[in-house]
Amino acid sequence: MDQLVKTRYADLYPEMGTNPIPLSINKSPDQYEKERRLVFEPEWHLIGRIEQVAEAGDYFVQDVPTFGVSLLIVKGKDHKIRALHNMCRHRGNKVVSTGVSSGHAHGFSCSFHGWTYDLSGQLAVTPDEDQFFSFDRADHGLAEVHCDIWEGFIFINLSKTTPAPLLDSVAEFADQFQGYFKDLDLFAHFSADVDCNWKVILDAFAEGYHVPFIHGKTLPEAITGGNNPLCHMQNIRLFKRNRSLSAMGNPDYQPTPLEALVGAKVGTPIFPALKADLDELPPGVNPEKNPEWGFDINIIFPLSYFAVWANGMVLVYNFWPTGVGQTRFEVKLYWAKPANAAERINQEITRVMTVSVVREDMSSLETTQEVYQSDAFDHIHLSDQEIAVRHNYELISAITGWPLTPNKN
Amino acid sequence: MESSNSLPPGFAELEPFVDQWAISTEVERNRVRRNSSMEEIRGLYKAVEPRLSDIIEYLNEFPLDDMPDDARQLLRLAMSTMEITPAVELYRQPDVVHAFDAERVEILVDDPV
Ligand code: FES
Ligand SMILES: [Fe+2]
Repeated sequence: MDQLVKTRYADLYPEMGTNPIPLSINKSPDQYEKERRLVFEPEWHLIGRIEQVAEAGDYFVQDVPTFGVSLLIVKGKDHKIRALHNMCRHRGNKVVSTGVSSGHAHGFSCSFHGWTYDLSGQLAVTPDEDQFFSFDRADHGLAEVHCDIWEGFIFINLSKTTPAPLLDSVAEFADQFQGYFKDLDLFAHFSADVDCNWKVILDAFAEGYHVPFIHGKTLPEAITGGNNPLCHMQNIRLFKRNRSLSAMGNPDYQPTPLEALVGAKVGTPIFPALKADLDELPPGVNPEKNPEWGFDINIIFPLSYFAVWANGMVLVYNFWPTGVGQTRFEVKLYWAKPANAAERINQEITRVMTVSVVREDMSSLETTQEVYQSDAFDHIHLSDQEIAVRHNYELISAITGWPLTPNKN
Repeated sequence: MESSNSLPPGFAELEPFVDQWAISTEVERNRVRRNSSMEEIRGLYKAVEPRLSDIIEYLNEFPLDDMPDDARQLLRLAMSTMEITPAVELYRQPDVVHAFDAERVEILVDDPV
């Protein structure tokens, strides 16, 4: 363990360098437009799990504010999962109204003039159809969006042309998780519009350096403490475009009284505790196969994040850029469906603690952006433990041509 | 008619907490937590803590989606207790000490119990 904690990632990834990062990349409107075109639009985005649409007729709505669209993810009678624009092809009303996030349907009827679509998005009923001119229903189905599935995770792609295959995006993760994710129930889902550049949020979740500080009250020693007081990652892997970080849990962590009591009733304490047999974990989960494992963070370029916790919980985050200094941050928590009250109550304390931790993570974002917007200083310094933060800037800079060399004047 | 407020036999001492804390949704449990005094929050914690083990044992006898009303009220009290536990055990104040404004977080999935 000591060995790993002392890894110098700058030596492992010399191409990353150690220069300061200029802040202008997070506040230039031109740069944002370039990112939108070259980074967000052509790529796949992780939006959910197949369990959310288990039966034919199950659907959920996913808003993608980056592109100003609302999508309807639905399982058809043919058991195919499709992503459709949630926009009626008559005069554009939403087919599933705002405020409805999921459900089960036999078809979708627009509330404005009653056009009705089947589960594959085909237009099935047009009231008073004779009044239209040379009208063929086949031409007026809900518009379909690229949608594909990897390891039970649903991805969408909004590019106007045929995108590169999803497997190219998943890339190095592709065969690392085979069969691991199953029976994951969406038990919590929340979002917030945050006044900061999307990279500022991503940065906040790509290092463990902040843990003993910003989470000092909520996570006292759960993943720090013991032999790893500063929350060094046990493993950071930088791939071509993706990256992953693996955090340890503290085996000496003493849960608070009610955490302990509830955890004992289900055999799974709230904070990361090893659940699966180490030998049964696929290569991508707890890559060091460390018995003191806490959780892994996996970031799929550019805007998708999924975390795997030792207690079996899976978190999906989206960082939806909506402006150079605005991002909608969306969080989905998945776990096995509780079988009894003990599991439901344990899930609840875990949810409450997770929301607290995420709200702490979010607490620095807007003030950070505020300072970036000012001309107080023009670059930031990153530690070796923050190399995954650096990786994102290197990547975005390479794609958009934004120079990362510090301002020389 | 206080039948809808009644808890199962054996849990009568928790009855005074039902009005304020037997809440079915996470949004509402969180709102009540943030708008309650530490005295009220500690009151719930102190009353439920010694009984939580019994509560869980009792509730485990019922399917989650088909509980009698009195058991469901007890589950709601337990859920509120989970909501306020960090306030008592970690923060010593109702809300997280330094965090993004809870009012600005939009809850999109909130299955009532
Ligand atoms: S807009 Fe949907 S039926 Fe007219
Ligand atoms: Fe954090």
